[in-house]
Amino acid sequence: MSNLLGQKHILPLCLLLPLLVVIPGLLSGSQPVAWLFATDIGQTVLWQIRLPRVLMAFLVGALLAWAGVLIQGMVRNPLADPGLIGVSGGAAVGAALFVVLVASGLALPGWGQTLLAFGGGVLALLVVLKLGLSGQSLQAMSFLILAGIAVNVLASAVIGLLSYMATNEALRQITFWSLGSLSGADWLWVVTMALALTAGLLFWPRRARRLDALLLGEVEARSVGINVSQLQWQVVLWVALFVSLAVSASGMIGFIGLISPHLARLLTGAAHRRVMPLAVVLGGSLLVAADTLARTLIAPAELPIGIVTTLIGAPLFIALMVREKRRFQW
Amino acid sequence: MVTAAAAPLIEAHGLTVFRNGADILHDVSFTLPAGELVMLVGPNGAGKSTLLNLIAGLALPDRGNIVLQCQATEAFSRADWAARVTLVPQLSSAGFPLTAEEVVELGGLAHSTSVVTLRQQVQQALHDWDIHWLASRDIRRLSGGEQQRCQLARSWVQMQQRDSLLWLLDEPLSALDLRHQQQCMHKARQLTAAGKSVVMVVHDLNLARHFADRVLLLSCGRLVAEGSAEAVLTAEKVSDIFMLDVRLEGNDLRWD
Repeated sequence: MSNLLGQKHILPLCLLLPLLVVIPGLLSGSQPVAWLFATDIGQTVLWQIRLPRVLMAFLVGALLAWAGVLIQGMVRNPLADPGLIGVSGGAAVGAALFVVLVASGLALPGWGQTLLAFGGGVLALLVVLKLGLSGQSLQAMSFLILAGIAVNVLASAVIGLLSYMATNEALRQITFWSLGSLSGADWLWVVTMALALTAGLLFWPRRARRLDALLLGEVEARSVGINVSQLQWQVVLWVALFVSLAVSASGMIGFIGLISPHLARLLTGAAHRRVMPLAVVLGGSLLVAADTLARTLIAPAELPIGIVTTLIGAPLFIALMVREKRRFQW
Repeated sequence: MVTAAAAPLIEAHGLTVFRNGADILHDVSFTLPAGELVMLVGPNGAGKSTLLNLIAGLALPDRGNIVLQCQATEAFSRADWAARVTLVPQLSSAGFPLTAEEVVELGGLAHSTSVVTLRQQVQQALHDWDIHWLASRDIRRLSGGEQQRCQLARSWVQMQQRDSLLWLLDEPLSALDLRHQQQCMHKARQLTAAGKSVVMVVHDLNLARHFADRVLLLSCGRLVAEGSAEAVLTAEKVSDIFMLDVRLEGNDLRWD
């Protein structure tokens, strides 16, 4: 049994797949296609609303998927997901805190929100890892998930508290984060996240084999010469960076970070030099497709994107759990 | 004229490890010269794997120190240490669908060799360990012995490095069939002939009597005896340590 997709298939697929979802995403909407090109308003909609939104959807999906690949590899748990293990929750607390602080009259710069989200994400991740990162037994795996649940519950309680104290305007924004929405898309976010993605592209490909070694276990990774604690720190910081950007731009969008790495591994095995690019492109494409559905299914109204991804993702997650369960029962 | 005596490969001084208040290694000292096949024997829980991890540089002793080629452990980064000492840990289960070849390739992580050389070494290791026909299989779907051979092949790639000195094996034979056990011993001999050293944990005392240049006998965290196999694995010592009535027949230990 060898992999469905080899190394040589990855690059063409990574170039082709985004086009297949981005173009329909751009053209579909409540108005006919001709309107987009024939009228001035249509042109404005196309270039200032549709294009940044589709690109942002792709980038958010890509960053979440990348965070999912990194975190799953590090904790050697295919069920880990930035949302499930509390990173998104921590980041959302940071983002919500910013909203409340601004509403209470503090003059803070806009990037302060991403910074607070980043801090929240790192903190949540460290707590979860401290509790849940110990060996690879089944117990350790469930401990990680339990720690994630604990952090998530705490995060939603804090967000609840913040919403209780918040003004109307702030409350609206906090709700926006906890449901997830891509309607805040603009070119600034697109450029920011494209920069983060590029930085990741410069950093991670050279470290793909180190991540592979970590899949075998910490002892194995160290015995082939890897500084495991340094690598773990790198993963923690990049995951927090990716997730906090995605969360401050579009709120909590679940399951993309879980299912994209999974799909990629099903298609091409677990080697990170193939999984990383494929999962990133799959994550981006999935979110563009989901967003297109969210905009068109009940047009001119719009479904919250988080609901669409959860409706697709949760059944897949259950299917994965059933598979994992079989694997451990022999 | 006297040729300069080769400096010992490894010197261990008073290694002591505490875990939960008890010392699982107590004041263990020894010297390993280059080019020897050393076997580490002892009952379960004697501290064999702990000692192996210390030599591999994966943990630091609470007391005592290890000197590798006249340099203290602390002088090496993880990558430097791995370039010299290769550890094959006890078999653990893989959770992700890497292929056998991808696992073997990881032995080259500490390499400074070219991609082409590494690829040749990986192919050679796959053939040497008789797993070339499994190269593109998912590691999780392989049998225990096949997985063990993947780990051994990975370490074999790691041992091909210019600086490599020492091959540490934690119960390498337990999952292997007779032919592959012999193959493993043959590989170990190949290394010692090239002036490198091998330390392996084994449970088969007769194997140790037949193959080992030197035996370290551990019991309850203490180094009870050290020396040639004949001197260490006597019927009396083995009976005493393993609490079993053992006698010597010819060159083999026997028990009922």
